[in-house]
Amino acid sequence: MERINDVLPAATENMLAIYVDGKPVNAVEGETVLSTLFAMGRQAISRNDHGHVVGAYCGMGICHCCALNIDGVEKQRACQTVVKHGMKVITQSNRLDAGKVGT
Amino acid sequence: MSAGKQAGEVNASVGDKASVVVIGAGPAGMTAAINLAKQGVRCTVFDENSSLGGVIHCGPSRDPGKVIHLDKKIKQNIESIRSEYEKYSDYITLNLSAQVMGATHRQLAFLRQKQFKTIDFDYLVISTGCYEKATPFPGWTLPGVMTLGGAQLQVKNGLVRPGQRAVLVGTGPLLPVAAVQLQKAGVNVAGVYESGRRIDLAKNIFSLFNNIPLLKQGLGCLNALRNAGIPFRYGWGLVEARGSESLEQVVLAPYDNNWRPVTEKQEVVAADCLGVGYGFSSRTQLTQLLGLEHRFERGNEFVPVCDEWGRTSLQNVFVAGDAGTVNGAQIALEQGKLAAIAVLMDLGKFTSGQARLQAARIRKTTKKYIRFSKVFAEFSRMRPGLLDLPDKETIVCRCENVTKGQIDEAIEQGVSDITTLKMVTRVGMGDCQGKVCSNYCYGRLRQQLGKDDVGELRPRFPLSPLSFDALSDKEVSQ
Repeated sequence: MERINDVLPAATENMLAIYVDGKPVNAVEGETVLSTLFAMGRQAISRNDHGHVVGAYCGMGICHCCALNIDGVEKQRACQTVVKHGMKVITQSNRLDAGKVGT
Repeated sequence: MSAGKQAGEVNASVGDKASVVVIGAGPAGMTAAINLAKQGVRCTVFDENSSLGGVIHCGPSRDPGKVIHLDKKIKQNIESIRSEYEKYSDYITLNLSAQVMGATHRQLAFLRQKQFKTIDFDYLVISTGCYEKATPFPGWTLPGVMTLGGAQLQVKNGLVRPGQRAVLVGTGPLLPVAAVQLQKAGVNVAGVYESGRRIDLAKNIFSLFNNIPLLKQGLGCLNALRNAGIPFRYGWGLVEARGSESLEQVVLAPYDNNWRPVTEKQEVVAADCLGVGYGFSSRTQLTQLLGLEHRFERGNEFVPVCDEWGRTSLQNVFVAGDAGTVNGAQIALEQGKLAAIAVLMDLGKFTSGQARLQAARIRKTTKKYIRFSKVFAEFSRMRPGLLDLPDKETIVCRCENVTKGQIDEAIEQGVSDITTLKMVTRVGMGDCQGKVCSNYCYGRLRQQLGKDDVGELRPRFPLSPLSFDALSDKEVSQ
């Protein structure tokens, strides 16, 4: 998946690979997962506890609307998580999704 | 940095006893830390962000040198906070990506690297800043709709565009600044809509001369927008946002004096990004949790009661910057100095005469700036029409999925304070602990009941969701 929303082209030496929904993506060292997703043009990134697909709202850690599954942990805020090489990000994931709750 | 020094001795590492703890590495917190360091007092600074400077001066996550969309002044501010820190870094233990979870009068609890930890303090400076007041309206939960600052932060810090074509709506000085940054970053800004009326600004024109730097910045931005052919319309605001899976259209209309849309004149603008900014609330969850004395401040909510130094009802706890009253970065910075001076006075580093002399100079500066910010406080004061903007089905509390209809119904049934509203509807009980919905809930209760005192939403420990994994390290490490 390509980065289409970079304000400045990032230097290749600063790129690292993360996986978004299983697909490799170029992330830039120092940026947040949310910025990587915006760079890809992805806005509808989360599924909240009520099944609604939502996007980042405050972008600064307040609202918890950009919660994703990051490296196997649910409800990690994309806007507060800095990318790491090999990081696995699953969008629109929620523990309360049908099939995931062991009732 | 501290290559030749015994790092362990100079810098109190996390978990060690540090006498002064500062929360927030923004203008207020960093200025407090630097001014303490200048007198040889060490402190430990915590910030949730991964870089220092606070939301306003955190700067680009990559090399800031080549950044074209930030003006010189902003770059200077970002640079100066970083270089000052570097100069005194031997005295300042900076804990970035650390989330404060709660505090008692002598101990702070935080989460860092997924571990829950505590640190003891003798003095605490709280500079948690502020956040944007969320404004619910039909369609505001669509992906692509963000706070104005949230959209701005993506180009300023993330160096990515939050969308291709943006509409910006709200009120106050952030609107033109963010618009210019987004436009220079390559976002097609379709229009900027300021709900305040131009005449309300014009009649206070002389007060604006109290802050020449900000006035120049504002006028420069308005001029840049004109040159770029971007409409900046006063007295306009939102009607609704439309889209199936994400934002496609923004409906806007002229606002009357009470900010009610004149829908006969509404216009539809295509956009995939909508930034909405109707002002800020102080981030007071920690000061409230600490049980400090608070007062109701119209247009802000509950703010800690502070003396002229920023000292709260607890002798050893200070508040500096927007966490006390939202006045912006310049004043926050000065208040950071005041808090540091007061701590230094307590520690015997300054006589009270020395402290007063320095403080007098600082207060002269802040007094002028406050006159400027008061103009915008009135100009941008939220008018009641905004509270009627959401329809019955509009979700107000995003965490708990509570609609405006449910809130109104509860009020009709006799709920007359925010705590009861929380118990009846679950507003404010979710992951954000009411930081998003409380602005609307307070406003609606006051509007419907015609009284100011509607109680106080009480934040609880932990201030942010805490996983059991973070606690699983057998003992709570100090």
